[in-house]
Amino acid sequence: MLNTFALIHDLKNRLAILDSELEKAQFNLSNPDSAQAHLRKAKLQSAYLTQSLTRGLVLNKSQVNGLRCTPAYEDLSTVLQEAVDAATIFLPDDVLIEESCEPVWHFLDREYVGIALACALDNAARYAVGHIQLSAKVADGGVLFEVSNCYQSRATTASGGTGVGLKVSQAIARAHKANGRQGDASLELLEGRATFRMWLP
Amino acid sequence: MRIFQNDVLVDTSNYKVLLVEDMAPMRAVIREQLAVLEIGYVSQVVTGHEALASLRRHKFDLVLCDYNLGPGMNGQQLLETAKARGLLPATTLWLMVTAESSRDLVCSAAEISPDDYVVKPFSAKTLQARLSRAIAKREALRAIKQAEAVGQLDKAIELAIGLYREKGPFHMDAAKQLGALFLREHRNLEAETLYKDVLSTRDDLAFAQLGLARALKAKGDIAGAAFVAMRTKEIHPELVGAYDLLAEIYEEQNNIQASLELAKEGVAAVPSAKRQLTLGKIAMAAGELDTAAEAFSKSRIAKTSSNHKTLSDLALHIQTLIRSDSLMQAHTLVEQHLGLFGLDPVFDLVNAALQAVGVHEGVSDGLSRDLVGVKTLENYYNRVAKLAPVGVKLLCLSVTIKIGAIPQAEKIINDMAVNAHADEVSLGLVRSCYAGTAQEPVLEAGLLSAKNAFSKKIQTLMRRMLEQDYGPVLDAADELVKEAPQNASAHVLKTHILLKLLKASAVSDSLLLRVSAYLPDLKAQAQLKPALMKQVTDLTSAVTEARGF
Repeated sequence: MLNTFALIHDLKNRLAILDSELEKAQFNLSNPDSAQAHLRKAKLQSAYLTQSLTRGLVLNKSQVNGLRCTPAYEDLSTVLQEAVDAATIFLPDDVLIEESCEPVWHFLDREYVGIALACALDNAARYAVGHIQLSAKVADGGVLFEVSNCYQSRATTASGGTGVGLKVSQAIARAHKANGRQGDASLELLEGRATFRMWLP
Repeated sequence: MRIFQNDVLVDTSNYKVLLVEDMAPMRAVIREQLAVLEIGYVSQVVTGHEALASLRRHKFDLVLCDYNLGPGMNGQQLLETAKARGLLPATTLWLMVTAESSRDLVCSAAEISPDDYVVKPFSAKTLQARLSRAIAKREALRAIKQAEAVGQLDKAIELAIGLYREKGPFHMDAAKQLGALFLREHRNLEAETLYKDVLSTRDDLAFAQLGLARALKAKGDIAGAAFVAMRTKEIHPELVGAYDLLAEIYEEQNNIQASLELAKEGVAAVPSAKRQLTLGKIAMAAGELDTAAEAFSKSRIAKTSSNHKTLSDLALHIQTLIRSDSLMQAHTLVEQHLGLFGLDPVFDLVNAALQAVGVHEGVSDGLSRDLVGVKTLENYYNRVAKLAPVGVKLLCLSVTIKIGAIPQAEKIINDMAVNAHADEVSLGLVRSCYAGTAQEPVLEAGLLSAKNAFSKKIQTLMRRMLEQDYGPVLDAADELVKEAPQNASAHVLKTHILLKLLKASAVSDSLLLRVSAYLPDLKAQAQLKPALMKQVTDLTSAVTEARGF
């Protein structure tokens, strides 16, 4: 079940940080560079808030009414590009996303898959060392998305998550049902490498 | 922003955008995002009614519309109304802006759907991506839509088949267009084959599931249609088209209660004027008069113009007003529609009905007795009954019962019973006019007697047809059509007999003359009962062939 308490706690903390950054920006108006830096941090917190709320809503919907996907024929490279664009704000300076995609179109729910990939990329960004590999390819009559990275705890910089990201991705993947098959998502941690996989029929 | 699509350069900086959003801060945000995309001409409105007024005055390239517009119509209702009123040229794009909570409703609009949608909050980049995609789709489908717009439906179908077979980015959009064209042209078998082909690729596509159900219904496989529509509704509970279709199917199966429940659900999802009218009609047939009155009243509120589109709708509304003793409102309503229906002879009957009740209630300034009003009503009824839709006849029936003109009521009941002998919805509507009155036992007996007698005549005719005795039964079919000119079953039987005779080896000139004389009447009835359109098409083709053209 959705841990409402943890979610609200996370939102409250982020709001406090956002408020503090806006206050700092206001106090530093005479120093434009400093004000802009604080505004960038405020923007980051605002993006986190939007992301957390969106995930909470999706997870809540999946638990209350069940998620229903509306698949359309989509260009996978566009789907990946939009996911990268959305994730860029959360990336530490020393982490890059490498994207690779077969030139394939597939039926999927663009918005929900975007949210699932955002969850995976956000998680990778918290712990990745070096590059994050994001890929999409045809597999087993469907399409397989992978987000993979070497990891280590970035305790000094990473903020702790509420743990809903994987649940959201799984709910979204499983809501993709076609021709008697159902999607799924998983996270594998093996020898210092984290690999998120999401297969959709 | 400049986009190349199908070798066409689309420059959106010249775009004229209509922004429909009820929240001022959100309007400001979206306007800024449009500015980032170098789109400067943005007309902003707050409500659906204002949007329709703007669409009537100006041509826009893009409508950016929030789904939740506060009280009044929502974005989907606005889109449906604008399309129904012809306010959206094929070149105008419609992007629906939606919150996460209403996303499923937006996505589930399988029939009249926006060109694309965007979920709040969104960036200028996302808006650009959705707009680019919508433009690309429009360009891909442009030739099909152009051919359709000028009535070249065969060409439109051919182009859509080509695009579907290419399996390119928009092949499913082409399939959606193609299916709709097949159904419109009564090419039901081809529609069924297409939708099955689509579903064999991907069985979760709502438009194809609903299209298959529609195709099955159109070709007469009602049980199959009901099964597919029910399954579609289970998989896509927000797909309002599935509720509409199931309500239609149950109505045809005379399962009024089930039809009523689905009509209520459809109205709850997207309460368009059309759905409210359907609900009103079914609720009356089911005897739920309060629900009917509310639905008719809301149907008017949901419309942007206060006018009803058909005389039948107007008459049903007047009927509810008369039954709730709101006679002055009924008079006002009739006056409002004078310009629209004033030249239609059936409108005189509506007026006569209202005058009759006015005389009875003493509202009319005449010193006449009830008798004058009743006689006038009877004369008009006899003159135009053949052309009058069910709603108008029901109004006349309600009026005659209200003013105690029972012999006239019995005549109307007899007329309606034979014209709708197997249509339980229409018969339910007739019953709703006298339910609970002192005359109910007498009128119900009259209804059953007329309905049963006509059923027997139909059965006799069908038996003789089974005996391949087509020549003589044509006269009997003629008699049935004369007795019940609005009875679809009688027309179907007569057409069937004529088709058999036309396919015989030697076709006489007298038969051809007989068919030619009958066709205009059949076409007139098909205007009232679109299900008869197939008979018109079949008979027209057969007579053309028999003449050797």
